[in-house]
Amino acid sequence: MATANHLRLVPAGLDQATDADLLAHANGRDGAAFAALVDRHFPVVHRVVWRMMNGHADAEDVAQEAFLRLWRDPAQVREANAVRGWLIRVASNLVMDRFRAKPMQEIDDRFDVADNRRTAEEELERNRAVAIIDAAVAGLPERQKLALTLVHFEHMSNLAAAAIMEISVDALESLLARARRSLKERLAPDKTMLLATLAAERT
Amino acid sequence: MTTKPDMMSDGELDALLAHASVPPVPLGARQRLLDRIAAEVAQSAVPAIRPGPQRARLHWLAGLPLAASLALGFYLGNGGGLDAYLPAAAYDMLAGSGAEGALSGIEDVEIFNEDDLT
Repeated sequence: MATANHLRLVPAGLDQATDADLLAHANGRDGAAFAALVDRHFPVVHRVVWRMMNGHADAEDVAQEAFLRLWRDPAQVREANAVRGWLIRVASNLVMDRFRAKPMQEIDDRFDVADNRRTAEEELERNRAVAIIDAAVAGLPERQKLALTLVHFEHMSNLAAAAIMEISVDALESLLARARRSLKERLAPDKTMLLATLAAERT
Repeated sequence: MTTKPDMMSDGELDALLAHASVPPVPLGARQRLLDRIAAEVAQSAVPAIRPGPQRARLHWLAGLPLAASLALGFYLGNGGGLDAYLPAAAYDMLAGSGAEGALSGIEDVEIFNEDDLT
């Protein structure tokens, strides 16, 4: 039986194993194999949830809940090599359930690391520009936001993103097109300022 | 149809989206998740307390004295009216087997006692 100690230690070699192997071991209550799955997929699941929840502090809890469901019943995953997709699907469904109960509007956390090369004024300008972009993404409808997150921010193929969202590729492309059109409309009024601020940052 | 002058190109939108916030995994999140799982494992290791079959049998046994007491109450409350339902052997044993003027009820017992005392 797995113990807290087993869960903390990931033996060497597990990082070479496929998701299917790790899942099979996790199904046998192997905590080390499950910890390897956590190491492999928690960051991306958390990023998707964070984006979907507009940076809400509960993003970590929701991401954890998806992993707990996997731990309780690993046999739920029909395609063992699609664990990541399964986790993202479960997590995004959890987020949508929360949205129905209570819409989330604001971005709670700022994770920007201070850059000493910039002056305070430049830093302020940059933060303001990033906040405008984040707010525009946050304002998208849930499914458009999920499609954009998977394809644009997580660099998934349209096919993989469509599989996660359980929709056709055509439907995904339609969501992406609407999301991009909506973002252009929202960001257009500040376009000159945003491009100038963020271009200055690169120089 | 005219294009708005402030409309954005795909390239410009991609350039802006490249600057959207990217959250790092919160410090200690991995450990918190693994601790939650360890807690579930520990919880599932504690056997649940369920009433066993012996406990159920005892429950029925406890009802027997109550049932007997109820039956006795019916019998006494009938003032001998239920004697006909008693097994003959038990009746004879209680009333004095085969004797003439055998007792037939609670009143006869009282008469018998009075006769015996005088």
